[in-house]
Amino acid sequence: MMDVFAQAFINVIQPASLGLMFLGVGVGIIFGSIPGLSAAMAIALFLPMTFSMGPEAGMTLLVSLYIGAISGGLISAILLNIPGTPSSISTCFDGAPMAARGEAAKALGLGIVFSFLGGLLSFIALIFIAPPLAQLTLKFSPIEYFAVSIFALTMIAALSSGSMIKGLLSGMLGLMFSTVGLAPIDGSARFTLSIDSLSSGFDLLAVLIGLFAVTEVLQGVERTLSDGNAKVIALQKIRGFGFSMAEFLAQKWNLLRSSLIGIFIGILPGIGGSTSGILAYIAAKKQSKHPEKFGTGIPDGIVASETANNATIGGALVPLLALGIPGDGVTAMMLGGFMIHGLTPGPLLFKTNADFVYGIFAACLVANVIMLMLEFFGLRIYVKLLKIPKYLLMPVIIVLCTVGAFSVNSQVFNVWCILLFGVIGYLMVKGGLPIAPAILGFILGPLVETNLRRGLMLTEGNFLGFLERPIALTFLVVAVLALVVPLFSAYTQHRRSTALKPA
Amino acid sequence: MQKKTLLLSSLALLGLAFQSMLTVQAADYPTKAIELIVPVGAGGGTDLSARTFAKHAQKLLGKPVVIVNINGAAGYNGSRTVREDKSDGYKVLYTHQGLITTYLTKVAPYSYDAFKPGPMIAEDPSMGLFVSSKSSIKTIQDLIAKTKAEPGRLKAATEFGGVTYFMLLKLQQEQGIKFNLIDVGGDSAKVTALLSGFVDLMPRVYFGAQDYIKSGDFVLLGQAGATRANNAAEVPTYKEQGVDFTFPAYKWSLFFSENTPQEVINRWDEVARTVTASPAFQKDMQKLGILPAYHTPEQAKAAYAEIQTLFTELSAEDAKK
Repeated sequence: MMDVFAQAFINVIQPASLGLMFLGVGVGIIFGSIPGLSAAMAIALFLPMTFSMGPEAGMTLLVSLYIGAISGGLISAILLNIPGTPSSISTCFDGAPMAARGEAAKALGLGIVFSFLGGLLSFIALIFIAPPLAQLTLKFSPIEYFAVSIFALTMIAALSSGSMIKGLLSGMLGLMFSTVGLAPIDGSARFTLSIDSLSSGFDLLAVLIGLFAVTEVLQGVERTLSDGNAKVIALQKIRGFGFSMAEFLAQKWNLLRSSLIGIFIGILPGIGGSTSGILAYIAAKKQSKHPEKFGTGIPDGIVASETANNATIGGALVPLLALGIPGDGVTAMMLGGFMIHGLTPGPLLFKTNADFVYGIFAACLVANVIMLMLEFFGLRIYVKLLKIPKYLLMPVIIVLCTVGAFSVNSQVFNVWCILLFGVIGYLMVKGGLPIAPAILGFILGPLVETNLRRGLMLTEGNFLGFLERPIALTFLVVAVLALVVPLFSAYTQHRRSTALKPA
Repeated sequence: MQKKTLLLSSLALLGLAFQSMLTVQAADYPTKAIELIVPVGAGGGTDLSARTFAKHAQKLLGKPVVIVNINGAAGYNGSRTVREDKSDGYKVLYTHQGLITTYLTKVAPYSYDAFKPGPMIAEDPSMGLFVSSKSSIKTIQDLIAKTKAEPGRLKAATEFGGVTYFMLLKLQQEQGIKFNLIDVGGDSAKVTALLSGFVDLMPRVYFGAQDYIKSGDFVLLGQAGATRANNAAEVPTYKEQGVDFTFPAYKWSLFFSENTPQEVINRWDEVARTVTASPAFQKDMQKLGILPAYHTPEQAKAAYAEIQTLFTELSAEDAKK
């Protein structure tokens, strides 16, 4: 194994290959950082280009794009409060407040370093324990996916800092919007108002751009109009990555936990990597000694989100390489890349094309380092973004969002969607509704519904069958506890406080 | 009255002028890049074979053929884009009988015949039934016997309204058996489902699954073509094994918006004939496990008509129960 691996490394660090990786990571970072352009788009765009390369070179390029794009999302999340990709939604929560305090460089530095570490840990897991990890994929039937999705839905409560009611309301809105379009399984049209374009429902990316980017721009316009001149954020001098060793060490458990969550979500093909950052964020908040500080601009939030989303990459490659099963759109395209080069994806890939698989491993590790380097030097450039006057920056963002929305599916309809959801998001903010629960609801709604219906087919319509499977049962019990325990403690606290009052 | 005639005749003239304009355009077609609309996301068999075809076709056409993935609504988004396009041949649809299944499941209000048919490009006749190697079922006879003994017990992975769904319906109706049909999603989700053992049976094309047979995970119970497919020559047909069960191949063709001039379609027909005959194209397609299969637009139309009749009968019979 080691000599195959060593050979793969030597191949990957050839000048031509390195050049390709710098190109891939660089383009990926740009795609990731621009709201509206995603990792999937970067890979779709470069996929045809890889057809004329050798299989190793092609895969090296795709892996580099993937790593760059997932990490690049943190730049706009922190500097503009707009997630560059669906994966970096939760990076906004603490990244943006930190940047608003003038600590943009520190926020970026944390994001970059922990993106790197999250990726690194997941690649180590991929390289050494992919085959056993892949078995986890096979433990999950629709019943388990249903239970995990329900569990994740209860996390909306944890996301709603402040008013629980408002958080739930926002989550419900997200769930409602996710029901538009063809129903899962039977394909009957719901809430399509006889509009053909609505039959495929709202696209996640369009909803995301609308709720986050357009909403943020609308608010930005409002702020500029009311303040006259938007305040200029004083930037601190940047040293290294902008944070201290003590600050780094304080995150070690957060790093480990978030990596595990990221890898786990990545391995499950049915969940979708975009939730891993949010779930890791929530987990970090729940485990924290100071959960109330989350959302005010603390390192923990950025670390959790960025560690997990990059850890998802290694996780997503596990079922792809070990079983030939792609987990999402990105890995499905990589699978296509294998096939076009005559490689059969499947359980024998490790045996029949070990050199190729190790080539991918080496590419992951090296591209991850390149990402760290490019973003380290880029850091000093990114922060200059804050110096661009808002009246120049905002229109550019809107243009990029429009282009991104259109290119999702080459449909003008999606451009109208971002406008619609921009207005909805703006009204939500004005009404004090948090936006993140809506996105979580929108992503999880179809997962819950589809897997419930599929699960019921497996149990022949018997709900109790869901409780007979240990993994599903565990998640369902934890989900119930997550709802009941806070309610119960709120109730007892209420009783105590009323009991103390003299009658 | 006179006014009306005048109006009508001028409209007719306008129509003629428009028609001739299209013909003039068609004569030097193509003058710009052509979009080949693929109604699914990037990466799968439909997408990759379209890309391969486009790569070779653009050399003959002299203009770029650009793949545009318009997925969503089981392919309706993509087909609608081509159907509603102005009929000048710059948006061409590349798809298979999914066009028929979206009509039968009422996702789309039209079927393949709402388009002007173009030439057929490729096919995959290697549809088979896979079981887990841990199962006691080793042959197609075992499968039928076991299903007869315990009707509705065996869980078959499918995607409701998809091509595999119709394949299972046909097997059920012809053999008088019943599966517990489970919707699990697309091809890779089916593989996962069979690997993890929560379904017992998976219909799928051979290519892309052969390594699971080699690895000892799956057993393939044969293929559903009338004769052995070239891309699955080592797999016996069901007929060879004494079970009269066949199912039509996946057939990929070009489809044009209704009023596309015949010249444009003729041009593509010629391109398709040349491309599918070229060894370079055949070699590229071999990697995808998809067979180049040229048929004229008329032959393609007849093939889809046959599939539509079959699928309509199958779903009508299924609805009776």
